[in-house]
Amino acid sequence: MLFNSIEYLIFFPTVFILYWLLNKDLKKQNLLLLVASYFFYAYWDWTFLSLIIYSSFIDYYIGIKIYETDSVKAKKNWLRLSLVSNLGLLAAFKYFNFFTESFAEMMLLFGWQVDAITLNIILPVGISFYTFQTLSYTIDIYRGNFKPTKDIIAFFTFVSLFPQLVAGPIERASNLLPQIEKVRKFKQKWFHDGIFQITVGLFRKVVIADNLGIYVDSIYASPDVHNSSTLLLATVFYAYQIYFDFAGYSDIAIGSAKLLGFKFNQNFKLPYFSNSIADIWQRWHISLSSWLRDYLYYSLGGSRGSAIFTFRNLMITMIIGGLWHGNTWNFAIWGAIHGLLLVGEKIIFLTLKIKNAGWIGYIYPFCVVLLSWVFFRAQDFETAIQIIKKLIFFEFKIPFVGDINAIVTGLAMLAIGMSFDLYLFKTDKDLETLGRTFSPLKLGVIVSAIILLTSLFYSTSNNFIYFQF
Amino acid sequence: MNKKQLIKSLKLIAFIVVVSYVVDKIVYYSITKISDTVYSGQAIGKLNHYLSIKDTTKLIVFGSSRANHHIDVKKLDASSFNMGVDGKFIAYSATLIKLLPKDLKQTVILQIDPDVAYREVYNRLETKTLMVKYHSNPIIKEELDRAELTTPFQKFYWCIDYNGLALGILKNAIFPKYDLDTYYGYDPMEVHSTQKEIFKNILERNDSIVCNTNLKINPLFNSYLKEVESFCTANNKKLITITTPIYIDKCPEDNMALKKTLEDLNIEYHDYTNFFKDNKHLDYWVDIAHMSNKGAEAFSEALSKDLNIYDE
Repeated sequence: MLFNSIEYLIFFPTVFILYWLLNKDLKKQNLLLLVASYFFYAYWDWTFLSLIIYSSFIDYYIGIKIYETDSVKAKKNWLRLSLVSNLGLLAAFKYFNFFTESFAEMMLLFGWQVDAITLNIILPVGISFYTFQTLSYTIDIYRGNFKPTKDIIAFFTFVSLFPQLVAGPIERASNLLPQIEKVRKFKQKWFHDGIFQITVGLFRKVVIADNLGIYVDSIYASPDVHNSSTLLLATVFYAYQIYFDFAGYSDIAIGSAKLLGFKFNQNFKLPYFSNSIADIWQRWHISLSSWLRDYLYYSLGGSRGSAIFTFRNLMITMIIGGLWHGNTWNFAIWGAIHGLLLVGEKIIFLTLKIKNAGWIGYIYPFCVVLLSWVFFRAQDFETAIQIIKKLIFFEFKIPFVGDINAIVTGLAMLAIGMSFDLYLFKTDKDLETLGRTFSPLKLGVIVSAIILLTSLFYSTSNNFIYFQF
Repeated sequence: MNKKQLIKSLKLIAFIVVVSYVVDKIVYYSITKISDTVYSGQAIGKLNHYLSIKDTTKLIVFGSSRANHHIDVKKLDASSFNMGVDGKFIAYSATLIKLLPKDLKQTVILQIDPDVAYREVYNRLETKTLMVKYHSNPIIKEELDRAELTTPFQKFYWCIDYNGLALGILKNAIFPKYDLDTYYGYDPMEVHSTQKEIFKNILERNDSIVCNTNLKINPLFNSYLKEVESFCTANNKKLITITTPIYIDKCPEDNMALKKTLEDLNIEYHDYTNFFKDNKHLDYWVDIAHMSNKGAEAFSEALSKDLNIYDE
């Protein structure tokens, strides 16, 4: 079920009403959430629901086992089992074809012709998100940072809670599970925050991102026929499309959760106002970047060694982070580019003994990130290289405009979106807590204005981009 | 949630619903007022123009961009209008044809393309731009409801009628582009350098085309075709269907199939797909499916001689 669908508009208020009617009985409330979450997922494809149940069951059981076992070796073995089970699911459903095709290509380099066995596998929506979420639970227990829950309904609800089930934010058990296990109280200010954030999120997605996507899709469908200016414009549009698409999704997720009395962590913090590459990664898809930092980068040793060792760890983390997004080399390259940028930036900052690059820091991160988005969006590696070449050996020509109405609407809505972000940046405010600062009257007027703008300028487009990951 | 919180929350929701409803209606009527004065732009202006001339014009061309940019209607008849609009196919044209006055003798030229007629999926999405008249024109409302293109929200938020069009309407209201008295719907295309380069690149790429082998006419397309035919027969309209030229036609089978279908329906059809078969001068083309002003002028001259409607 999509957040920007009529179904969700019926589903959410129904759950909301039933949920708060049951607020004197935590168990029933959690059971309702679990059933609603499974329904939410099954509405897309019920067959893959079994994977979520499998993943939940494995980690529920292993979590208890790790905690109850005194032997370090046995703890490690249980953790291994959790890793193999969850990553095995990912490997089977997401990376099987990637591995076999890459293996066949590698063999070809040595002159051996090997037929790649590929399977027609459908990627279950949200698998990358919920497997990482459940993994964090067992790893935290293994590290002694968290006690397992014995409430199976609470745990299953933690894994599948519908606002964050299919595209995050990847919530840690340490944040979400205690909230599920405790009685939630309806808070008026959270209600205001939630209503406002959902409306803004919807606007970001269906108005800004989807309008920009019209131009991006038309140009990236056949980049070979377009000139440098056109490709640059389409890539800039894509940079904002993916930001507003995913930030919009996160806003609706966080806002919906707030209406149910849950506080999710912030997932986007105005990433295009970053003053370094490292800063971007503290602002973009925060739940994933912090997951990679805490469970991968630190596990590899983090920065507790020589500079070379730290750089190696950064590169591995970023490449795996890239591959988390998709099962093609383009994503690995995208991750590697970010790894190299982080390493390069670290070296420069260390050499010059500076903490940031001053005002230049607000420009170059966007420019280099822009180039990396080409790998994210292009159909394949060859196409990405073709586009990068045209962007590097830039030849200014009049860009192709196409549907003038769509491009003007896209630009106008982008201007509104960026002005709002600039306002948040200048005033150091968070969207997550902005709703409560308005009086009910003001909030009502602002939300009505956003609804009006949405009616006038929404675009019907594809799913949320991050669903494919 | 206690009673006090419930009342507060319900009040906020009710307030949002009421304010958004009122604001929506104020904005809707304001845009409608502006929109009705707009005669520039394809989506709204041309539609308004059509509504103002449809009851007095003798010959009207309908169809997609391949009608709009290809047929200089003044070469066919002095009292004429080209109502071809970019990206519009038979559902859009049929809806507009149904708005023509009953009993007035008129010639309707409908440009149709075989590749659209034999598409497996044809969803009538192009009629969405008629949404601007959804709450003011009952025939259009009926057609859009039938096409299931409206959203349930539209009953409540009328501004959705102007979705994606509001900025264009404002722009065209402030900066009108053409003279209502001299414009007659034909929009010849000048080829600029970027477009020329893109077309050259496409030709060099020489993409292979997979022709449609399942030559079963799309049922929706077919039903619109029949509706147009019966409307024209019942209302004193002469219906002529044509296919305008393309640069190269790699799939002639669908043309033949369409010809047969139209013959069976007893509809006059002229297929000009290969009109420029022996003349591949690039100056005549903007892209594979669209002629430049030069190509369109040459074609319109020939069409005029061929149909010979002028003196009728």
